Amino acid sequence: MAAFDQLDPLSGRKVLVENNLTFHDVTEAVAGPIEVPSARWWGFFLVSTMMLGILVLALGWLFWEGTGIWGLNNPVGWGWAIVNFVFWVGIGHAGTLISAVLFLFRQKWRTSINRASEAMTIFAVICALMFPLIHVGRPWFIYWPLPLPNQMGVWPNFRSPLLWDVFAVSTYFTVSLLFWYVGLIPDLATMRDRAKTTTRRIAYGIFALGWRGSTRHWQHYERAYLILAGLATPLVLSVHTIVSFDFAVSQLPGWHTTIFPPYFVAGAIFSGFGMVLTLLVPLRSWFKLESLITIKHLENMAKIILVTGTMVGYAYGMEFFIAWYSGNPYEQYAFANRAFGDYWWAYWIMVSCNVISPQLFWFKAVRRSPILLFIISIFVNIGMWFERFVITVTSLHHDFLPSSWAYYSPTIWDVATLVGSFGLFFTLFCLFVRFLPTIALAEVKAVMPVADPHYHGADKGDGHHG
Amino acid sequence: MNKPTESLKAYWRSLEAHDAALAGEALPHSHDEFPTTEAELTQVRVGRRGFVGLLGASTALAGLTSGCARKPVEHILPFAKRPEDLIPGKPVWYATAFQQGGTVFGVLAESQDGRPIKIEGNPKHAGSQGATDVWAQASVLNLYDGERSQVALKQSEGAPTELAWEDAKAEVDALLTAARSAGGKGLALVIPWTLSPSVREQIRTFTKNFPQAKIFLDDPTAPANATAAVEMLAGAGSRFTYHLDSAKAVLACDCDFMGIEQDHVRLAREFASMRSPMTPGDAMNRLYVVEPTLSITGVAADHRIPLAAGDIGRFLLALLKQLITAHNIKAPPPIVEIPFEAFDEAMNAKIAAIAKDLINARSERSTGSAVLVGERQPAWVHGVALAINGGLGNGNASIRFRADDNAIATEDLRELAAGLNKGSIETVLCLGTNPAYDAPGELAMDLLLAKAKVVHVGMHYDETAKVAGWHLPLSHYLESWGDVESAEGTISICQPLINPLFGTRSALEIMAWWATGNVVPGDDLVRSYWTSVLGDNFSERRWRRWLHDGLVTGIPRVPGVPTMQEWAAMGEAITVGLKGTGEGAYEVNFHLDPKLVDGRFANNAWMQELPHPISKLTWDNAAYLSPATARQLGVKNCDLVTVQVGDRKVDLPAWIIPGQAENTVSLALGYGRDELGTIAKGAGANVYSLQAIANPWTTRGAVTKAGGKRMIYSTQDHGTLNPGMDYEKRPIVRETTTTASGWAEPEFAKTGDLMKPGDLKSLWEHNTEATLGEPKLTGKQQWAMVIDLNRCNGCNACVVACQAENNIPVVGKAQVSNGREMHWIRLDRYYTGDPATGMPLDNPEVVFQPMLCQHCETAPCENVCPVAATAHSPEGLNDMAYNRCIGTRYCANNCPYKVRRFNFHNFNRRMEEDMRQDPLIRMVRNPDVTVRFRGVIEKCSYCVQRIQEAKIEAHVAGEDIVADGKIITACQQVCPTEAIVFGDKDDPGSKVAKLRANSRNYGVLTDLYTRPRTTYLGRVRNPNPELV
Repeated sequence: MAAFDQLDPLSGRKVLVENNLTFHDVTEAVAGPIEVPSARWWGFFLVSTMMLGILVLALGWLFWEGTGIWGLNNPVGWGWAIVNFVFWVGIGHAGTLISAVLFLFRQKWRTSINRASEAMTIFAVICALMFPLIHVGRPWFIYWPLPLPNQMGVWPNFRSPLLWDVFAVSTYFTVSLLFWYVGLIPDLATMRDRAKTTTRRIAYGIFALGWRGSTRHWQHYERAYLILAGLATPLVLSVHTIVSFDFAVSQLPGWHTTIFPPYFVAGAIFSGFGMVLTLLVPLRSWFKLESLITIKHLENMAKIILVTGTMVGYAYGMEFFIAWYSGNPYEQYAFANRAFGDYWWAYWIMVSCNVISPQLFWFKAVRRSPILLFIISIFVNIGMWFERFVITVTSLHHDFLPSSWAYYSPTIWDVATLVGSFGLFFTLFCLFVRFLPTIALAEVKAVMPVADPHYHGADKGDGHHG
Repeated sequence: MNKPTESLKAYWRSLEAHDAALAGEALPHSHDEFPTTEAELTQVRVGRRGFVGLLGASTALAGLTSGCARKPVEHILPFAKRPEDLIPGKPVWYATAFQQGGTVFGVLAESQDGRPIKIEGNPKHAGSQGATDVWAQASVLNLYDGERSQVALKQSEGAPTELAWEDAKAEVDALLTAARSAGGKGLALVIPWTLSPSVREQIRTFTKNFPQAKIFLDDPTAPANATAAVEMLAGAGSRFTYHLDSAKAVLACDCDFMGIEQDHVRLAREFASMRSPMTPGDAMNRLYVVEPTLSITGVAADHRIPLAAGDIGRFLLALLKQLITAHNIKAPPPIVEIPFEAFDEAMNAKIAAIAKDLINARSERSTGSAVLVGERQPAWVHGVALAINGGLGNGNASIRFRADDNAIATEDLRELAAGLNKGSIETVLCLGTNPAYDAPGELAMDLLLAKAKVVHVGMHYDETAKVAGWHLPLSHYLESWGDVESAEGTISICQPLINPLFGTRSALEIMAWWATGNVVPGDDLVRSYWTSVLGDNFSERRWRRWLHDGLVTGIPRVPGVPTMQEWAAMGEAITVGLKGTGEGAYEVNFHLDPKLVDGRFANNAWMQELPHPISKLTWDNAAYLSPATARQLGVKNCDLVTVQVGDRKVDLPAWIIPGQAENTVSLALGYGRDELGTIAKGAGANVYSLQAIANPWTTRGAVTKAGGKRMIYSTQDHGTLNPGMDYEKRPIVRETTTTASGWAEPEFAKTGDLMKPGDLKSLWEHNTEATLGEPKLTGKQQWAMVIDLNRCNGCNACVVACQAENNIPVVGKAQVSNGREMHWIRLDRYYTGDPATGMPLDNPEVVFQPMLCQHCETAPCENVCPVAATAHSPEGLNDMAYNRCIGTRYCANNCPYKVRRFNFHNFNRRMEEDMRQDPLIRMVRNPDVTVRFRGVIEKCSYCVQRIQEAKIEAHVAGEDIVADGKIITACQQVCPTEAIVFGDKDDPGSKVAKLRANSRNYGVLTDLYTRPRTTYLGRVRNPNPELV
């Protein structure tokens, strides 16, 4: 671990690409692994596809037999499927935040992590989208919430938050995908130009849309990118706000709270950055990208996790305060039950992982230790899954009429579906790192020290190196 | 800050909540977090469906076609020619009658295209008065039990072989001819409690032809003890019935007269008629219940005293003594002089207060008292009660006597056992009886019967059929001609609605064949009997009217009135009885199951899945223990206990019931019939084997912890950890008590509202857009329902009636264990009373609350459905479009009443495919109601099919609106106490509108501004001020 970050000789700020790499070094570092797959990649890919196989099996049995194969029961109508949905949607937040919001705020450090985070976002949203489709009782009619003209003149119910979800998540997915793709175009052209086989050349060539790197191209590209960033930015806030409406708009104590939109958005960013760390810490080490994704990048993300984790902790506390302050006995019971009822363990897992573990990021040494970052990021992932579990299940299992209370336990098929969704996610991510540049080459090159017209090269000796 | 709920009474859902020591399994369906892992994996049915299906579905998934689970294609054919007088889809109703033990209901059976599908009470019949009970409702399902006996069987070389009916008849005829030539010597006829005049006539013929043959009674539901008592006092054929329509103070001793005793529907209705005060000044009756285990009658009580069944007789003697010493009532000397062990001070004080109240009730004009004793009590206890009732002057008021002139004299099963043992009985004819199963275990009847030649007639190839040489299939009552006379003398003709589905004969036909040797069709037998009774007065017109009305009228009768005089004999019986029977530290008492009765409904899926009224257990029986006894034994719910009587023992799971008498264990009969059929298989344990000869219902024995568990499932306490945390003060059930000046809290129905009704604001009312604003309630009539919590006694009849009417599927024990039962109406049971304020946990008060769709005007479920599958009708119904539902379950989550039910599987098919239930069961379905497929939500519709039917009728008749009372929902129709009222709330003259305006009316959870259309009348208890 570098004790001190390398500073830019001209601006005096920390450099975003360390070790004085040249443009060519960067291209080689990023494109190399794509062109020659490693044994490690094959290992990961096979494990991921096996998990994906579990998903296919679980869904096959689900469609054949019905949602009864899960642990759901009468008061608990939503279980792991919805928990997983919210979990994955939450994870899908970091990518767009990094690429769009940080882009608008001119946070140049985003360039080396935005590609992978956006890919993660898209794959996470794919996983998330799967759950509402499969959790319904009659999935073959899942297109009915879409406002499709039909001969019966029946429209969906525009008052239903689930309908808002359909629009929110699909919009988010579309814009994220476009944003990601537009950002990929120059790099796809690079890949095309480096291609050694015809197939690769044609494949990359089609998606590169004839990019030649002319100034006009760059001008259009940057304008489009800026517009998409502008479009995507409000979506970062809206998607999870609307997902939170699924709960907040209902009557159920524990769901029916106005704090949910900001709390869900903070939680989503929190979990998204957690997952980015989980993915990038190993990736930078295995693909030897330490110079591009520097410790400083990781540290920045750790800071965001610390901030959002603390916000989430504040929300947890505020929920209890409001429950007490409302004087509503149902509300008060719902929260007491959350912390001390049947699912107390889930609640305290959530609090330990989401509120307590990120507090370690107050220590610089922790923020700069990839191993500790990785471990804590796993805790964050676990904690955020449990947060959704706590919200969904503990509110449902004990609500208004004590006669209807019950206990919910998942079945093997719930577990298989969750594991399978990770299979889907990792399979897609494996394919991503195999075929697409994991770092935005064009953008990174623009923020490298060598990109500065006043840069004189490391060999001139500027007192900062050697 | 004072919360509006702070002053409320506490209502708790299960005992464990208050006593961590008793907290059973936190997760009743498992010990680990992933409980059904193994079960779910083994559930993957490898075979035709499993493996190939899974592959197919996976493939389909891969191709994203997923069209694999649509409804299977079924082809139906219409009538090529419509039969005359039959309008397809129009039901036809036939009057007939249903008998169970001493209880008789005149019923109207609904026939749809020739299939009987629903039973309703005959309003003209005194025993049903338009209502029925759980068993009459479920009886129609027995008709379509595919595992009924269908052919005659003969036992040869230990295995049953099928026999043509004629061959079976020839073989049995040979037996009978031999017996007849011997004058009937060695012949025994075992019959159930027989109230049919025609069958009695045939039995008399039988006795004539087989003079030395013996007749035995085998029927656990028979009112044998009460009859024995009155016959001992007043001679053979004497009978009595209880009547509560004028009783102001009622004492029920181990007598579940609302649940299972003789005439329970009539008694429940009579009791309820004085139980629903509309203003604080209205008179109410008062009920005292003394019983060993909590029954629904105990729940209705104003004062309930848990007392071991063996102490009830002593209790009545103490009461009699108190009445004599303190109130100078007259009683027969042989009874007064009997010494008995006195009770402690506290109990004596209660007895004194009850005695005073009984006397006070008598002194008021046109009212009186009643002391009821349950059939589980031996004859001598009935004798003491008869003496008390006599002393209180209740004769011909709350207790009425009559002479049943043509009653058949029967002997006890003990005599049968003795005869079989001695060899003096060689041939046994069982007419619809099952002694090998339901005789007290001490007799070891199955072994004894194996020694004799047994001819068994029954609806199932049951325990007796297995030891019988010949088994003949018996018809269901809806397939048979017959007649039946109720306990107080109302006679009905039973007409069949359908030809026997299988090659069966009715009990009357078989009895006539045995008596005379001739096989005569049932209708000829009934008709010729009544022709002989009426002589020249019999006419076709009269006969048709009897059939149409379901009542036999114009019969010349000379009513004999029994006089009770043999008190000396009764005195001796009391002295003997007081000594008690059996030895052991615990009293073991048995009761007819509120679901399976004596086991006759064991293969009836509706009854198995029906929650027990108190414990809410399904698919199982249990050893009911009091909390203190459980603590003493160190057992929790589901722990196995061994109950031992003599050298006979049975292991069964414990279930803790508050209100159970200390050191007693109560066991439900009728379970453990694994070989009867697929439904009965695995349900509970057979406890007949523990019954002793001396007193089958109550004995003493040992109870020990057996080790191990058997998981049994309650639909209400779908177990959870101790929730604690003061959840109990919720204004869900509202009640008050009477005081000298009215009600303790006249506006009690408003207490507990968190918000003033005026402060509640709708989210939607500003929005005039039709699809975004509040539902437009533009219908001419606005439907609403009111449920009177004072009248409701939790008898479950509505649950089964709803199931029958609305094609509600049965899901099986495994699904119930995970809370997936489908009942549209459920009876929530809460224990109430705060341990902190001295209400004992061991004997809490209990309330029932029927919970069904509340048809909220601003329904939370409707907002959240993405596809608008549930929406409001202009008449205020919360409609459910099954075809539109995609099954997000969001509506169920958002329903604060949790009344929406989800088809997690294709439950209708699952019962057939997984539980191998015969598809014949589909015949019972109501064609007016959609059978739901998997993946859709369903719930109470206020019987919308009945509403539409009535609207069509009104329209055809040219009327603008449906008159009040024309629409009767299934739950309302069956309700013995008329607790449910349905109608148009906007018609100020309607019954429902008047009840909604009553001060007892309140809505549940109205703070959520749901504006429910179903409201409740709060409960008023009428405690004795001296006992409070």
